[in-house]
Amino acid sequence: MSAVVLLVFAAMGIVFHELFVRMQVLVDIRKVLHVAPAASQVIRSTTLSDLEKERAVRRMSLDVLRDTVRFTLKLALVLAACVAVAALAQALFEPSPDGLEGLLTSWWALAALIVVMPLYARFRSRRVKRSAEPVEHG
Amino acid sequence: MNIASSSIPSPTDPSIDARSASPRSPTGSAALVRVAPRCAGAAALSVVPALALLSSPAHAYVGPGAGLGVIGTLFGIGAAIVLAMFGLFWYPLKRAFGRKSADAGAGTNAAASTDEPLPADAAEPEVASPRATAPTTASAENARPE
Repeated sequence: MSAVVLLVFAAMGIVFHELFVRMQVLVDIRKVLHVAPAASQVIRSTTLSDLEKERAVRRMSLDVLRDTVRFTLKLALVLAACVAVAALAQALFEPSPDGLEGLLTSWWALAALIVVMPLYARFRSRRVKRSAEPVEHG
Repeated sequence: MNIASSSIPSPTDPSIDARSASPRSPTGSAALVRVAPRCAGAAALSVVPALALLSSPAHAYVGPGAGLGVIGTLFGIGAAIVLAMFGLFWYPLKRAFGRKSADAGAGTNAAASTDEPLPADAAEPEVASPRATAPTTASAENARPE
């Protein structure tokens, strides 16, 4: 049972990492977090007129709302994919007798993700570096 | 020492304004405005522990991913609301009040100029905004025939 659970959570970690990186969720989160200093700069600016500040702040408000909605939807999609993997494994192998909730809240999840996620991130970064290196001809 | 006569005013005391006891009077409404936020705050503070004590287990789990996502979403929505408040209320109101005060200042200056005529050797009044004059001067210089 524990081996299946470990495999399930390893798969969940890989799915989470791949979707998180490929959908660029972190970029949207950074955009949202960078709004506060940018807005502060605009509001405290002495070179911009009030009309320019008003327009810039309105635009930033809409931008931050759009980025927030976007990254929330992406994150929900990533988490839904992870839960779908767990539900599929539970339906096929029934690794947890307590159902899907018991599977997701088991201690094996924490242990597997703590081990698998850094290892997979390191492996992936090495592979990306290796593929980014220029190929020597002749 | 007669405490009643020294500290507690009698109802027939003429120093007491009868309107101050009335809730509809300006003084009463001001006191109401002062007290109402405190009462609302106290009520909110008493509701929070009651809700915490009376709540039942949700049998739900919020992991770090969803938790950080919720925190980020709340931060983003809060930032959008604050920026929208600035853009929709603060700067338009500031502009409107600034225009009103500028009109008032212009009216005062006009009244002063009509009341007190300038002496004959008075200098030209200084222009308030150099930004307003700069394009005019430049365009005048450009339009000047060579």
